[in-house]
Amino acid sequence: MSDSSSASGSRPDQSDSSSASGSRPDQSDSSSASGSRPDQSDSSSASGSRPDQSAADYDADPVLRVNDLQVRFGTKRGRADVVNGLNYDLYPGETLALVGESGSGKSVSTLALLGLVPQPPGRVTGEVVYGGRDLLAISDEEMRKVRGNDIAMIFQDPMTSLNPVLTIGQQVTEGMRLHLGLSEDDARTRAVELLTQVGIPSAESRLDNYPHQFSGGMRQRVMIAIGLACEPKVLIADEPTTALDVTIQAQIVELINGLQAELGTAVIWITHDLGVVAGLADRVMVMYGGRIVEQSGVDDLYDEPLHPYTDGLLGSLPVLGAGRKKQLAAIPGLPPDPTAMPSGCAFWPRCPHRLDERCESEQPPLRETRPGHWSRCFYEVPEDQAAAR
Amino acid sequence: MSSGEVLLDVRDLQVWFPEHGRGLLRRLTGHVKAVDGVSFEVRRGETLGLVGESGCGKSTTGLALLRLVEPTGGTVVFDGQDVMELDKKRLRGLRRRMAMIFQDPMASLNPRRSIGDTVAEPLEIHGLHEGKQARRARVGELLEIVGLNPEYRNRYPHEFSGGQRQRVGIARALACEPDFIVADEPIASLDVSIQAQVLNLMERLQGELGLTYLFIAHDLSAVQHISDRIAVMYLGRIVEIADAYRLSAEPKHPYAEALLSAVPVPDPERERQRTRIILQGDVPSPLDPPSGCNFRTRCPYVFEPCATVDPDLQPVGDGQLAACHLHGVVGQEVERSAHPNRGEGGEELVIADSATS
Repeated sequence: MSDSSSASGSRPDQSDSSSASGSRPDQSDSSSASGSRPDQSDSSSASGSRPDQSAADYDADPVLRVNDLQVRFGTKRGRADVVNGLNYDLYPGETLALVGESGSGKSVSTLALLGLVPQPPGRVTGEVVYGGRDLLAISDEEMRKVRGNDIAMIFQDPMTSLNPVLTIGQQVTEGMRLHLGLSEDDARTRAVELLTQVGIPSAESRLDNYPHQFSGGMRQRVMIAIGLACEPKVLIADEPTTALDVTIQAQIVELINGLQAELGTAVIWITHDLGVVAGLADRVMVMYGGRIVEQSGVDDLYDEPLHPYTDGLLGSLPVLGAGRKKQLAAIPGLPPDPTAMPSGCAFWPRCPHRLDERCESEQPPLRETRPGHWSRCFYEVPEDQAAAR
Repeated sequence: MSSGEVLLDVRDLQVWFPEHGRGLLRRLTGHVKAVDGVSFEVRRGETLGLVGESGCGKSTTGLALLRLVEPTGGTVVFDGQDVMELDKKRLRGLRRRMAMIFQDPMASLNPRRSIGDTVAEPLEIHGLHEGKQARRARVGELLEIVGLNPEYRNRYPHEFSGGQRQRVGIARALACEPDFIVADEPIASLDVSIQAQVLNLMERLQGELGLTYLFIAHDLSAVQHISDRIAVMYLGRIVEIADAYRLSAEPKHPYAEALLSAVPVPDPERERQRTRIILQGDVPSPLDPPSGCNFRTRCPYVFEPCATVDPDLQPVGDGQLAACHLHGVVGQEVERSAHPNRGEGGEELVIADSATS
């Protein structure tokens, strides 16, 4: 991997708002940042790229472009604004981590990509461009051909996302028979290959087992085998290791990294765990209140977090092997209620750096504060506070 | 902290669950050895972390200390009192001094009881702060201690966030002014920023109220942060006990070493450079644990004595205990050579005099 391939292939805010309709604050603000689409120039160095391991190809065209994605739900308590204008590109072979806490919109935003948000009560707007088509505009039938074939998903809990009354073999071969038109025998042969590849011993004899006969780690491997069955261009992994023990988690991370390098799959890795992200991502997007609040190459994010929320998250993590410290720098308060989003910046009620009323009334733009490093904040985290972490 | 008197002394604790066959007679076919000979001490005012992966018996150990699960063997001495000997009534008295915080506050709080009533329940059971006024005042005080507005006392669990519910769970545990609290995965179901709040709260309360904690969790980073010492469990046994920071710097047991090497660290540079010891295979069934050392089926350093001799938990220097033959060969220290993760080949191990290693 050459150094010129910058990891900052970011496009946080709509700058060439060709297709974007409406005029949300995001887009009007973003005009100030336009002209600096880092992915168009190689100049912004290899900040955050991982030349040693990464399979990311930032010179290629993005495999997936998400433009102004919004997801709302009608609830008893009123309208919930869960995803509020998400813009990003996903490049072949890269691992893009989507980090956030519960309710930040990270999972829903990816479910929306695949048409898995029920409408109603949900309402999804925006544009998701894959292979020249807008996935939000195609028919259900066309979507079924994309889902599991071009874009696959691995879910958090393999026990609830595997069907307990179907054998592992049936579940692994389903997609291949549907999308690739394989015969039952061919699909079984391929399933054995896949299960072996993900590290399931004596795969052939286990094809006729049911999910409950597998351990948690093994079930997650089955999920990965299903996800990769049709060699998707994009793999969305929604907290794939959260339910697993740490030694198994390490196995799964390594497995997905290896398969990704082999197949050139682009991975969107959704997680709340900043530890896991550090080990696997090329780029990171931090979400809060349904928006990206910070986006950068993985090294920059940890070296110099720009948004107070990211800074707070990193500060609230106990770090193994770090010196004994008195207290964690916990973020006070609670994440915002999507039915009652604060005006202005969604983070201001919890922000330690809040400076003036502007934070409370105006939505800050996602600004490229450093090359390839974007932050949705009017201000920068004061150096002394960042250093005190 | 480590110089304090021993508040809790656990010796050879054993919790075996009987397994019955499916036949008409439901004959006893074996035991699930959930906890199989666990010994440790907790000193007054300290936090002992108990870590291990799912199924290792850490939660069962916690429950057995309070006899919420009946141990099948061993002794538990709490502040000079043998917990195993107590009758029901005196056990109840003891539970005033030993409290528990559970993992999932949604499951451990009664959804049809206001949080004020939930917090007041232990007071009723133990007949403390009698009288409506006194009890109300105490509940208000407890809610305040854990950072909840006392005016929320009439609200129900579903009206709170996960972190707030865990605060209610903590307030309930504190109601009877216990000396000792078993916290079983108290932060596992919480968001990162809220985990830090709860960890800070528990540390503050420990300082203010002089509490002693057994902090059970799978998250090593959090355990290291809050604990003075850490015990690592594997398949019903403690394999290593050490000072929290010593453990992370110098784990002696191969399982502890592998576990630590697998913990993700929020630092891309360190992540890139470190070598993970990837353990092969799954944890064996506690119904039929391996002979000798029960970690030997996955251990990268396995050598002859491991299959036959069960290693004792013994001192390996500076208050650190480990149950491993690598440190147990009399007068000798086994040198770990080559890459640790080389699978089965135990023959490459070099046995050298401890003086040279």
